[in-house]
Amino acid sequence: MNFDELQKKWDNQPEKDINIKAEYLTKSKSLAEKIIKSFKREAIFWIVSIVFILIVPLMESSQIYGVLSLIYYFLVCQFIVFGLYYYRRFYTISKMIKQPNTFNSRESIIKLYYEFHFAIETYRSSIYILLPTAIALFVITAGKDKTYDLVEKFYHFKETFQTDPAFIYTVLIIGVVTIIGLILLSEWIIKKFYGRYLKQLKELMDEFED
Amino acid sequence: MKATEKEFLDLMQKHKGILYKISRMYFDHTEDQQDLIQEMTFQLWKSYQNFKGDSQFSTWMYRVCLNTALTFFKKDDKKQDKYELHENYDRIDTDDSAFKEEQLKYFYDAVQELNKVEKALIFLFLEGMNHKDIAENLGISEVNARVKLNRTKEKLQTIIKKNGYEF
Repeated sequence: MNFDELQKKWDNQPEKDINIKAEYLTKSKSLAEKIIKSFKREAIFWIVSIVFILIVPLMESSQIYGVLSLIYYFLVCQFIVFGLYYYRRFYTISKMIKQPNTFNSRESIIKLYYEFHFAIETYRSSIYILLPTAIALFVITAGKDKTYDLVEKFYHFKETFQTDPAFIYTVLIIGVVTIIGLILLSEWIIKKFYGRYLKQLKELMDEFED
Repeated sequence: MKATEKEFLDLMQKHKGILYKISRMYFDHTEDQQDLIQEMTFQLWKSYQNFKGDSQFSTWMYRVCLNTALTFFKKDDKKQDKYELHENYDRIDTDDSAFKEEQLKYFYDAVQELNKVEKALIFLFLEGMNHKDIAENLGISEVNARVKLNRTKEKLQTIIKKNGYEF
């Protein structure tokens, strides 16, 4: 057999009886749809988190007052603004993905890859920026009135270090471990929900460039 | 069912050969093939309203289907229900159509070892497209299409020979 023979056989191959069902017009399992699904899941989680953060200071066990309350809601605002920033990016890419495909194969893959890559990087930077904010929110709600003492102790760092070095070491170790833990968790989430799709697109792009 | 939906599904039935060939080239498991056919139909339907008839229906269909196949990834844990070829390697059926089908099975089996872009190249070549049309469909230069296609044909020949079939 050679390619001419193969081409003849290709043209005359018996067709299997495929039944194109009407339900096929409504369901999708494409990479693009999976990406949109991940965005939606993320958005729902974000909304639930925001509602939770807003409710926490109203609960009896974790009520905060005065300046702390002001700082707390200022940080929550920061949380919301950064969230909206990267969700706007997710929304733009979702809209782009939903558009009927008018590009050739290479062009559409490259466009999808770079838009998606940019959205993930925006998401990653927002998470990194929001990490200290998240920790501050936790400290305020968990520490309540003791938060003042904690801030006071750090404000007079030198004196505290001389009188109570164990406190400084403990807080620093907890802080560093928490930050590293949260960074690792964020990277795992990015890899699990978005990274593999990005990798698949990258592999496809490389196949075109090869 | 709306009139346009029916019209579209009739068109799909008429051109289902394209769906079948692409799905069989891209996946060797029947469940994956069915998933891809479903996805290609979905994407075609989504783009159908924008199809203005500037090009032939089949030309437009090739582009949408290949775009879909390239970015479609199968589930990881599928049962192994692929077409079994190796057991019957030396058997040549006296029935001509069965013989043709067997030869095509060897081809489809070998194609599974190509990457996604190579599969697209071979598919467009077998559909009778010239280098210019292949290049246009995939968004690469004509020279690149020629070089890649020749390289892919050589690779395919090697795979088929390696599998013990004369090519």
